[in-house]
Amino acid sequence: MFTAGHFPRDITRPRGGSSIIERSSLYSVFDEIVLLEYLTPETRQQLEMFNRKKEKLYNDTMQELQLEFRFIWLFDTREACKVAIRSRNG
Amino acid sequence: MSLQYPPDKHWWAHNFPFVLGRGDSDHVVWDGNTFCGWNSHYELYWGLIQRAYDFCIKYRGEKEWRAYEDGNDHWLRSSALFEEIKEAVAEVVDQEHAATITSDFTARMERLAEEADNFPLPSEDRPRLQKEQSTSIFNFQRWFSRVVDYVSASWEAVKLVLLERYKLSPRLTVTKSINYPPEGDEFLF
Repeated sequence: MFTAGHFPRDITRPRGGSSIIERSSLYSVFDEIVLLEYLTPETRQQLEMFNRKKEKLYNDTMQELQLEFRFIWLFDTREACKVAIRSRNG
Repeated sequence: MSLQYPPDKHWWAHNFPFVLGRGDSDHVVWDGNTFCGWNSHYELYWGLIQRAYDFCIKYRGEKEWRAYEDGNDHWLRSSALFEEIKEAVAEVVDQEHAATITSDFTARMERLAEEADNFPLPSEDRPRLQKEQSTSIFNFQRWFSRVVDYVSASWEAVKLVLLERYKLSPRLTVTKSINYPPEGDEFLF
């Protein structure tokens, strides 16, 4: 599922970007491409859980090290963007 | 984004990059310039952030970027305005002052919007920034790339089993725990 979407030869398959970004600068620590065709509801939940834990580990580690950097995980698909924006529209 | 009231803190913390246009490559040419940040007082300036979001979606796209490439400084002026908005929404002020700031920036955005409305549409002879998806049912290039992908993946699997068996053995490293607060980090604002 992960990195399989990095194959650049075929850009027609729907894909999402999984990124951890630093919240002040919005720079990415990493960007992974996920082929959406492999995401079932179950694996999508696993993907989210895994990355939320990773985000928490990043932030807790920064806190432990007394560094000001804080990170958020984004699953960046057009669908995710629309859901995020529309969720405020009821 | 069209709601009258600002979102809750949790929503903002997880979704503010989308509000800034990151990820919306259909509309926004992302150059890293933003009109607010994670620590902006969105609850105080919600009207301004809504207006800036609409402006960003409508007037920070390919048409405006093309105009910038052609020497028009509209893009730079809107970037500078975003920078000013970002600084303004980081400050806590009273409601009245916030309303004044909002109307001032809104007027400036409207002037920029009027200017951008007169830009020509991107001409078709120039390549688009965003890659368009193929609409044909059978595409030889796509079919061939899939074949290449499958052959590459098969070769990697064979190589793993025949030549790189050490990768299949369990790790020698021992996981080391990191003590962190069970509640996790809290946002500071």
